[in-house]
Amino acid sequence: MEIEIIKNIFAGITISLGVIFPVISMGKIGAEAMKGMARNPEGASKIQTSMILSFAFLEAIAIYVLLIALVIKFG
Amino acid sequence: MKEISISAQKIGEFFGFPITNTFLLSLFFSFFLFIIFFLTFKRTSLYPSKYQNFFDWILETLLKYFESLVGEKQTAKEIFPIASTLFLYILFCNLSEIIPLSAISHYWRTPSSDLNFTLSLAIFSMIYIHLLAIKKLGPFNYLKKFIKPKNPILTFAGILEIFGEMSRIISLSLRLFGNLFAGSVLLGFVSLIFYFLFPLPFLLLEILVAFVQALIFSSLVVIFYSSSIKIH
Repeated sequence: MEIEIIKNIFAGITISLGVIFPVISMGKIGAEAMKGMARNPEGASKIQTSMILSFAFLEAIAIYVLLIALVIKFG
Repeated sequence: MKEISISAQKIGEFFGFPITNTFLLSLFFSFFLFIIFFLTFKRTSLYPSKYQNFFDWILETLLKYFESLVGEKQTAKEIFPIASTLFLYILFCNLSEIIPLSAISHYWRTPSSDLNFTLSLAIFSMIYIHLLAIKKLGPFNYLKKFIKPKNPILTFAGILEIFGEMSRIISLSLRLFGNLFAGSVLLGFVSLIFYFLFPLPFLLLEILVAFVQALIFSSLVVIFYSSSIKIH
C-alpha cells in the first residue's frame, strides 16, 4: 500500500480512539455539575463557571489527540 | 486550495532573518493593542469618557475574576498586569481567526496557530512567575521549597518538581496552539465547502473557543503564581 493511504488510515484511527476517554469524563463532569446545581440553586453560577473551566482543560487533551492526527496526515 | 502546513509560511526576509506571516500579524496586533490603550488612558479623569469607561469595566472585571481564583487581593494585584495583558493580546490574536482568509490567502494566519508564538508566551510567563517568586520570597526561601536539607527523599522529589514546571510550559503552549490550529483548519475546510450559511455554527464555536482559550491561559498564569509563592 502507498504511504498516503496508510497515513489517512492511521489519522482516522488515532482520532477515533483518542477522544473516547476525554468525552466520557466530560459527560461525567456535566452530570455531576447538573446534580450539584439542582441541589443548590443559589450556587449555580459558581458551579457553572467551574464546569466550563474543567471542560476547557479536558478539551485540551482531546485537542492534543487531534493535533497528532493532523501531524500524521499533513506532516 | 492552499496546502495546510503546521509551520508558518515565510513571506520575506529582513537582513537574513526570515519573516513569516504570523510574525507580521503578531506585531500588528501588539501595536494595535498598545495604540488603543495608549490613546484611551492618555488623559484619565474622574469623569471618564465612554472609551475609558469601557476599558475600565474590562480591567475591573478581570481583576475581580482573578481575585476569586486566588482568594486574596494582594497576590491578584501583583500578577494582574501580566495576566490581563496576556488575556487581551491572546484574545485579539484568537479573534482574528474568525476571518477565514487563511484558506485562500498566503498572508493571513492567526499568530496563535503558530507553535513559536505560543511557546514563547508560555516560556516567558513561567520565567516571569519564578522571578517574581524569587523577588517576593527571597532566594533562600525560594530554594527551600525545592531542596529540603534535612530530608533526602523530599529533596529528590523537589528536584523532580523542575520537570513539573517543564510540563506546565508544554501544556500551556500546546493547549493554545492545538485549539487554534485545529480551529483554523476546520474553518478553512467549512468555508470552502459552502460559504453562505453553512459555516455559522462553526464560527460561533470558534468565537467561544477564542474567549475560553484566552481566559484559560491567563487564569493558569495566575494560579501558577499563587501556588509558587505559597510556603508549605
